[in-house]
Amino acid sequence: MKKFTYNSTAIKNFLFERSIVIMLFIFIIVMTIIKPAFYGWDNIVNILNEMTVYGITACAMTVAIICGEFDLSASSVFAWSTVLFVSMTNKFGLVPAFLITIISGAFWGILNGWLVSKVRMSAFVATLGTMTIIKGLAFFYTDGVPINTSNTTLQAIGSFNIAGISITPIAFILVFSAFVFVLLKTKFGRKLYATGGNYEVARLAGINVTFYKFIIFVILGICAALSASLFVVRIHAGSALYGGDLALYSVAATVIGGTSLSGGNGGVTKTIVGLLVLSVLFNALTLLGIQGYFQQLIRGIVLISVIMFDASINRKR
Amino acid sequence: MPHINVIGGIKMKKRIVFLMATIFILSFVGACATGKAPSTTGSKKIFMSNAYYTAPYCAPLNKGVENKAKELGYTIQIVDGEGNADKQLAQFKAAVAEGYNALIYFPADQASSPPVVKYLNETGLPWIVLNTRVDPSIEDQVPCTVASDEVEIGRNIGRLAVDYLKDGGSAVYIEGAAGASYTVNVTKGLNEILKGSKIDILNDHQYSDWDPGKAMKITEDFLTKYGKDKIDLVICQDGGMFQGAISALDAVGLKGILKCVAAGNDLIIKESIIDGSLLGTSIQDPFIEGALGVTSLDKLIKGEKVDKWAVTPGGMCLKADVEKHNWF
Repeated sequence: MKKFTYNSTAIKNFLFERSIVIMLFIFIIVMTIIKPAFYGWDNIVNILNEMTVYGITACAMTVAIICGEFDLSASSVFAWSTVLFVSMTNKFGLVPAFLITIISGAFWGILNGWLVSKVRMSAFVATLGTMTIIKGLAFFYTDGVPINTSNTTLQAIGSFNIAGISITPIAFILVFSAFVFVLLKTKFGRKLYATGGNYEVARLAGINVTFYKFIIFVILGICAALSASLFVVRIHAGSALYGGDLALYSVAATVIGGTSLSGGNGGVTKTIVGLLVLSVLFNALTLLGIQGYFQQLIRGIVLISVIMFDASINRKR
Repeated sequence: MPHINVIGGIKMKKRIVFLMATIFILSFVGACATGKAPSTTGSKKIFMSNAYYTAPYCAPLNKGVENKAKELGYTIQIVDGEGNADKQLAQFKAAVAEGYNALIYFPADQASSPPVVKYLNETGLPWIVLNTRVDPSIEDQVPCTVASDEVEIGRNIGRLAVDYLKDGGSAVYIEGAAGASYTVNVTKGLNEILKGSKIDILNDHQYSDWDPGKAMKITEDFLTKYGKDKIDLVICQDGGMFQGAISALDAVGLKGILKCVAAGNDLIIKESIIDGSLLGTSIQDPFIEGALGVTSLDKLIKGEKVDKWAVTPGGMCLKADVEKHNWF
């Protein structure tokens, strides 16, 4: 008779690798008990609709971090893209505006990619510079004044929903699926991980590391522009002041999800966990009746706790 | 020789860390829930999303809202909209899901307000706009706006300036946040009065985002660019900006020499009017504004008639009038 072997090590490893998910799960259960409104369909949809706008850029930021880089200018690209999308919609209509905005996002990505991969500037310095340039351009273009659009097609798209789920989560699922496929199932994805894991070894192995260091910024620029377009679809306005927290939010979601800032590991599936942690926390604090100042304090403390716990677990393993 | 169980020690530490983190997070959630869960036995709940929660003006405004709400028997929650209309929309949706009875909307800017106004009307709940007016195209859809006559505030500042520089002169002007209705309207009122006067505004738009630190930097830049002798007056849109400006002037020994005009009810404004470094202010009392907001909302909740625009009391304040007003 075959003996059943209880492999406690495998179970422990399984749990430790998913420690953030487990903590999120516990948190959701607690919130569901305390606040029945939390698991109402309207609230779930609210969380999904809100988290997926920034979520698209967070996925792209994850790719950049896997490759060992990050992009501070994502916030400014977002702001510029909201302004451009609104103004082009008012001038030329929705479809040309969308194409122009995406191309513009790609342009900023090309600039960042060139500075980092060819000019060999550090990503921090390069994107800090472009962040300032792009934001300044957005202010200059609008004279600092937020602009809006009354384009009826855009408003119709913004109002479109399936059981309350707007177009934003649908777009996010498409983008997310594409990222998962590319990272896990293609040579491109494998080479990306290799470049981030060890740049020199990847280069010596024949991988065109310059290209990968370049392309991740283009992807980020496009995704920031896409996020901005979806934001405008929801809010019908653009401003140089929007998206100020996008870059940090994307990095936070990536790190909380478990992708290391040193590069070479992680994935967008982990970033979804990070996005959920941030969005669920934000939503929970509102439902719990916490006042504004305390919300900031608690958000910071809980985030540090989650990351500290995860880092501690993984370090000891 | 005793065997020191290092592996066991690490495992124990892991368990402790796990336990601590879980208890930490759960205790926060529990404490928050116990401390802040609104009463279910009858007290009505008001939810407010303040786009500029951390601006100096909003601390007493929030206090005014809270005090009046408690006085009228309401439970109130105020959250930070972080200048983001999408975030504010999500906050209102969460509030509606949680069963709040009435809503207060402090917009980030006019341009992004239409979708929020649309949603607030769809909720069927009583709601008002506070402090910052919405996009003019949808203003008629707002049940009640509680805000200052911002154009009149600008006119008051202009009158102070014209009265001081009767024979003309040069001024520098520091504005608030680009696109905010207050910024736009105060500038409109100011320009109305300055048109035809001999006062020349030296600079193009300079926005300080209600931040005293930025206002200080802007003032320092003005002094460098135009020269201390070329500027006759510094005009500020609110007390936070004035605080930054006066700090910059103080640093170069110009406090009291280069005069200022401003709007607001900050304590530094009161002190500066008394010591003469500020010529006067256009009153905008955030306590009263916050309280008026809740009073108007209370009327809506009870089904009473309210004005479309409940104007926050204002007016000019010179040295002789200082003791008649609230300061914060």
